[in-house]
Amino acid sequence: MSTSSSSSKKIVLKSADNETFEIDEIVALESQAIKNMIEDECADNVIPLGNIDSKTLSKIIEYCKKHAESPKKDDNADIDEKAVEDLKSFDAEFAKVDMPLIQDILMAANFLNIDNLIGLMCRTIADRIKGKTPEEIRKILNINKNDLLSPEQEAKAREENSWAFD
Amino acid sequence: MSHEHWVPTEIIVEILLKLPVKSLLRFKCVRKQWYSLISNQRFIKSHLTLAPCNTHYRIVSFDNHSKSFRLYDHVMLGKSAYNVIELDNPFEITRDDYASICGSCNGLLCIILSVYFIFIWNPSTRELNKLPWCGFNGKCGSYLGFGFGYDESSDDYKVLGISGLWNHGTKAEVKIYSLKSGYWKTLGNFPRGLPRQALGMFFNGALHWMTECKGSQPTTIVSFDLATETFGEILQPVYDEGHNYLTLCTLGEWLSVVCDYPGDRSDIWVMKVYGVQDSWTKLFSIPHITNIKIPKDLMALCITHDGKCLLKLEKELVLYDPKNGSFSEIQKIDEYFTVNTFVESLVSPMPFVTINAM
Repeated sequence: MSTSSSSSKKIVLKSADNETFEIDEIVALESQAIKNMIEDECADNVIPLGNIDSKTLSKIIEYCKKHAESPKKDDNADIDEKAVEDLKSFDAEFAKVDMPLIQDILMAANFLNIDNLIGLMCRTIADRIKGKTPEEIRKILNINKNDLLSPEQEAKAREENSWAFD
Repeated sequence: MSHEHWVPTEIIVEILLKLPVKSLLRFKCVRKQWYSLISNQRFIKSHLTLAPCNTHYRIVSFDNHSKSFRLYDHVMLGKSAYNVIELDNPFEITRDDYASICGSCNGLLCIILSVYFIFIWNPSTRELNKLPWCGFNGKCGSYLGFGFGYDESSDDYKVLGISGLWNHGTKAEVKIYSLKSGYWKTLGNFPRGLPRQALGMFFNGALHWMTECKGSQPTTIVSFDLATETFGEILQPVYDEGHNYLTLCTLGEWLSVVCDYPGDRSDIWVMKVYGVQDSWTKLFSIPHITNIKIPKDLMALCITHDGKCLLKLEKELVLYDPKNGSFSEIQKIDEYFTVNTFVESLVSPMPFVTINAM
């Protein structure tokens, strides 16, 4: 993936499946983790991201590009409302992906320390699971069986809040 | 891919914090980790802090006609398509009973039933705590008032009871109940005459009352700090000449006074910086020349996101738009009713929250 502006400094990210992505430094700086690496001068020309696959990484770059281009809230108190709305609808569209990818993006955003994206993914997951049953949640989030409540504990917890299961 | 093993707890917490109470109560069953996170006091406090962002802000009312509690959703968003949810009564309320909401704080409601029973109730979790009666009797000709609020310094909820006789020289008696102590303590006398309203307004860690003016003694705003348990006074705005009735309320982030000029208008004042007299600001006036009957004890409840003001009239809730002076009715009620702002929370009305380690 390459970007239109050629004058700015480039950073190359390498995914777990060895795909490389050349992006503007300004886009990469959306990640606090990469920003720290660059500031500490411990980033080589290519930053290997061994735990993020190319599908997830390209989504993350799409998000960072859009957010790097948009005016920041703290830069200017009265940025035009259109830009805010535009970013909002971008975020809403961006989150329209399946649950496994949402989780991959969330984990990668957490690793790369991209606060806004972590928040967006958490909100998306919360919206998708809020009406579900505990059984459905376990399936959706792929929760393992080792940490389940005992049948007695679960029966008690269900009884205490039986109306919440209506 | 199994994500399960590497989802950090902070991320799980971030997700859970964005969920409504009903989902959280159900999700305690998902796994042990979720059970203990959702029961954790720190989590409960963070969830409460985020409640306004999660737009769970609501209005709660009890009316003595239908004997029912109602939640008004989306009123704060100013939507005309607000949603009314009738709540299951948490205790028996017969036709002869009279109930009122005497305070709303952090998702808990303090309810007085027929001048004999006091309850702290969380309608979101449906947990109910029946308090012992304060010992005051609500005889004819006597004043009986309550206030309910949170003392952050001791992480405790407190109820204040005030009892006195109208037209009587003696001072009103004050008692205080703390959820943690579990008993009523006598505090002495109310500093100035009697409060004008039955309910103390909780704001900024203190309860507030507008007092009845008596002879040469002017109306004052008496405050009661729930942490130090001491009375104080809040200086009022400089009203225009000719005002009559003064009603104290809380309006969003401000303590507020509605100042009535009979047959003309009601001015809405707010104290922008708590405790600073100069910061009193007149927000807007509500004209009385309208087909809506404006009572002298009009209460302003909240400002919606689109700048309208929710008002409690005698028997109805209306939205007033200061920009064009228009009124729109939210709810007509045929009886005496009490109403408050309300947030959804997991806060327990019980004194000792035991978390079962699972």
